[in-house]
Amino acid sequence: MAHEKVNGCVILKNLHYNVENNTWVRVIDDSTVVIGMTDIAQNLAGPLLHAKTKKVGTVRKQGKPIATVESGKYVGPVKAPVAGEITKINDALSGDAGMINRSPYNSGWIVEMKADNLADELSNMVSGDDAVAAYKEKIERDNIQACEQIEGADTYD
Amino acid sequence: MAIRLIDAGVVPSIRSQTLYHGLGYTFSNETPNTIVLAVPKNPYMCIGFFQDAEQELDITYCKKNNLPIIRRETGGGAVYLDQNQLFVQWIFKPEDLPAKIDDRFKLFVKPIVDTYKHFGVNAYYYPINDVHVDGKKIVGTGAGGIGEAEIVTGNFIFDFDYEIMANAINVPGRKFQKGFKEGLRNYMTTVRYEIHENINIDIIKHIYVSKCEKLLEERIEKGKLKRHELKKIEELDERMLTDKWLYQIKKPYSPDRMVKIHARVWVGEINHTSEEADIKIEVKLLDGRIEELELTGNFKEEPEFDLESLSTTMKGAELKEIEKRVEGFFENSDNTCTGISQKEWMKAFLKIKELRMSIS
Repeated sequence: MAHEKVNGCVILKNLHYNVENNTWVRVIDDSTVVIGMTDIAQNLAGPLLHAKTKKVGTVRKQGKPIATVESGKYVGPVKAPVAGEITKINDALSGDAGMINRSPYNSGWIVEMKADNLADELSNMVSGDDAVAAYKEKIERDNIQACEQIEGADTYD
Repeated sequence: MAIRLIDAGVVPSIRSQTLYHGLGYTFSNETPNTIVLAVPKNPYMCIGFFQDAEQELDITYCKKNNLPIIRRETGGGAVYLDQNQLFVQWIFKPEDLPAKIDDRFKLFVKPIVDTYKHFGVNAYYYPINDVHVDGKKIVGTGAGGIGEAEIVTGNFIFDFDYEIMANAINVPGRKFQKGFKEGLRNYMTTVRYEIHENINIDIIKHIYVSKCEKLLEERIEKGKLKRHELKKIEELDERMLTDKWLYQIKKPYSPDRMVKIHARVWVGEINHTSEEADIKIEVKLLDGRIEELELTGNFKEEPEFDLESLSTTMKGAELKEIEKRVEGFFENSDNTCTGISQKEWMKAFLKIKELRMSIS
């Protein structure tokens, strides 16, 4: 899978990113998307201990929480990169939130959503080389330290 | 834009929590970074967002002693809070705080440490989010993302009721229940204990604010809550006292429990059940090592070796060494085990590590 590492943080070029909220979107069809936290987000948070997603059927506006995660003493929301309805949740996370740390782009996905207006919302996100450039800028601007490879994490060579 | 200071004074217990929640939920681009100072009027127990109140606390004791329980939307464990503490709450724009949570805590505790030092309390930052004096904790902290704001909270501890805290928390392990109160005394301290005097709270606030101004290189100006902020806070005053909010996290019952006394010290109880035996391990961890350990169990066939010798082997082990220590013990031919397999002992001991890694 085409990817690039920026400061050790993996960015998959086939995904769409909301850089501000550090979430990714994988397009399944015209309106269905899978959503998760980026490698940078999970690194900034540190080892995740808990994850609680909103229920299937919950309707969310863009930017509203679709899940809450806890790492160490921090509790924070994962914000919806698109508006729509949650159609599937990753049940495995309730027993193993660390999966987000180990596999942020695969097994650690958070929810699947039926987006209200996917085409419009994708146009506000970045992907491919634009995503790499946007994250380079963010990492520099926010002085983000290098991502660390954790034990059992997905590998990207 | 200057940082806004909301000095809320002495407030009802629930308000000491809803202030920063409400400010977080109403936060927008126009909201200035805000520092709240507050003292709760009455004692209460406060649990972390992901905690199950019924498993963490002795609810009966809390009810009997008029000790309300409040779930907060930040991380960490159950704590006892009262009028002998000054709460400090930062409600900031995300870009005005370090991106990495560990760095955020380090920044947040600096003016608290500097204020303590100003009054002769020899406090220092203890990673990731503690402030210690001679190895004893003197500040509790928590952090979270609420609405569009990033929140960091902490407290100056002037005095502390160890007894109420010890009674209200469900402490695992018979061996450690008795010692929990003493443990708290050994690993938690207060301003009163350190300098044997009372300091005027207004002077502390003044010094703290000046330390924040210096650190953040921003003016801090006294301000008031806006109408829409107060409305949200009042709404949360009601919502956060409902049973629906308090009991929203239900975890499956586990016979295994671990409780943090402070960043260096944890106590826990493991109950491992298999066809061959029920093994009970009561453990105290200090700096990531097994400091104290008690092994008991019901065995179909009694082990040939002395449980005390296995305990001795495991004492001092770092969490990452547990596997090696158990293997080493059974490599000794004197420690053969017909009644219960090495595999079951291994599973039981590895639960210590799993449990420690699963809580903050």
